[in-house]
Amino acid sequence: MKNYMKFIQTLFPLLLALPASAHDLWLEKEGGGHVLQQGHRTGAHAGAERVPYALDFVKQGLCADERGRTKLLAVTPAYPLRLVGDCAALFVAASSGYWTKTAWETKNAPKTGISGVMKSWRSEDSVKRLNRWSAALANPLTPGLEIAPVDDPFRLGVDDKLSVRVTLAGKPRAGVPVAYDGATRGATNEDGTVVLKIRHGGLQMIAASIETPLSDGQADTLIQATTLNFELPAK
Amino acid sequence: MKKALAQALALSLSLAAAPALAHHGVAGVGAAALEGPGAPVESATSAVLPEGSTLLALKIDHAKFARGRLARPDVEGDYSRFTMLGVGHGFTPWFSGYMFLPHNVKADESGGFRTRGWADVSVLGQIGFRHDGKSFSLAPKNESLDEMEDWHFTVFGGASLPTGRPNLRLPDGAIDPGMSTGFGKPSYTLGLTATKMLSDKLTFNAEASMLWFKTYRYNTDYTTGTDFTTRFGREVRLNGGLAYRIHTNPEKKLRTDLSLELQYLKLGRDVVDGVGEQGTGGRMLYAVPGVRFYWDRFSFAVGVKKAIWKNLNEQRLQQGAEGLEKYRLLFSASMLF
Repeated sequence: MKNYMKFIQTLFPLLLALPASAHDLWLEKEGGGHVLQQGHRTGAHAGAERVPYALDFVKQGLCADERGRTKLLAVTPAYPLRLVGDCAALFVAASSGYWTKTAWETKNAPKTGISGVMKSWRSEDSVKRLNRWSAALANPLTPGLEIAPVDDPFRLGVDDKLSVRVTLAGKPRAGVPVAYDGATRGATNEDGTVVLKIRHGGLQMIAASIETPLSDGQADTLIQATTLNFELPAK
Repeated sequence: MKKALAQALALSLSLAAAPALAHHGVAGVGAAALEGPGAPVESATSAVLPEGSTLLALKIDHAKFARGRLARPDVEGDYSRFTMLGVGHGFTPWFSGYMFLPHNVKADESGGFRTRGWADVSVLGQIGFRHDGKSFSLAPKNESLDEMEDWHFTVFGGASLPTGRPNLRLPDGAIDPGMSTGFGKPSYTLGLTATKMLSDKLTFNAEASMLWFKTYRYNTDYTTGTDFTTRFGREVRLNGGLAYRIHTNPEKKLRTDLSLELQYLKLGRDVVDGVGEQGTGGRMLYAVPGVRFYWDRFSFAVGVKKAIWKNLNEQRLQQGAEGLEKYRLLFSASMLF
């Protein structure tokens, strides 16, 4: 069955079980900087286009140059978060913390001390926006779950195909479901890559997520989600 | 001899349908199946089995023939039922192998003679390709839905092995090759398929294939006191079809497709003792509307096949053969594991 079955085995549970954290994250260009937005941009699920996040949601901001060298950006507790800097790539790591689901409700809290727990998880999100291309940006900027184009995405047009690589701990990760505009289009191969078709101009939203067991006693699993943004000419 | 073609078709189905069955299993395994390419009821498609996976398949083709065409209705064919058990395996991402065991029932006019038995085992190999808009490549190990939208192709070839009973005798001691359950010699098939998703719900599929036979010398026919040779006519198929996804339920892993196929069949004339046999062969066009269901790793398809055009050799002499069915009822089921 190999990867095909892996695709099924990983994709279905994730798609069906992804909890309240399943909002889109994206970085919008605004003025000379960027704004982190959360909401339902892809239409994968119904809801408000913009959904506020907590002031402590964002944990880290990185600005990368064409060589892939990163520097920390100042992150202030604010909604929406504005990031300033001339970056070839911009990376934001965030977390909404622990979540616990019972028969009655889903709480933004660890499972400790809660009765009737059906499922619990820690949610970690990240979003990376490419503004310019260089070969160095085909590599991950962080050790977290990350998506990077294999080649220059800015030369592509509608209906062209883009190969992206998903990495975790800096290494290709196989069997990760990857979505374009909120619709899962496939799972990564053994080299961490999956091929997607560009469906429209404007802001591109490519997302991946994985769920792994957690042994910190506060949740059953760790759900990591990441999004890759880049913008193509609108047509 | 008039029913010989029906037997030939049984083999052809067992071979040509294999890639289609292969797809059924693939499509039954999850989300890719829910949104991936569809498959017609009967024609071969361009899907290969995932590497390391095994497919079990069952197919039943019940052909009911129009009667009252011949002066002797007691020798007219009533129905034939071709049942096929199959097993396939994905040896690599681009190569699948299959083995099929057909079981045939052929009945004359109601209440008349009937033969039944296991027919010739057949084996088939299938190689899958993809064209990504720039170049051809062998079918990869894993494909995204976007890659599944590319053109896909397969080449398949196979042979039947003479494991059936070619010299099955009628009650009067005669041997009618058309009523036997084996060809006596291997037969061979070669085919091509092409498949393309025209939209996220509509899939186009085409198949071209050929089946040909070798000459076999039968035992002595007790009614004539002589033995004889027969070579069944070559069969050429050109099939085109569309499958349209009308329903999906990801939670329950259910999918339903409507399907419509047009199947052109050209049957060569049988040759008996080196002479072309009257009342055999011809050309016809079938329409096959049907529906296919997917549930988890299972796939089920039902269709009705009927000739909408035919031009048979010495048509007034033919009965109980392709093109002269009242209908054919098709059913298939498969499971991938």
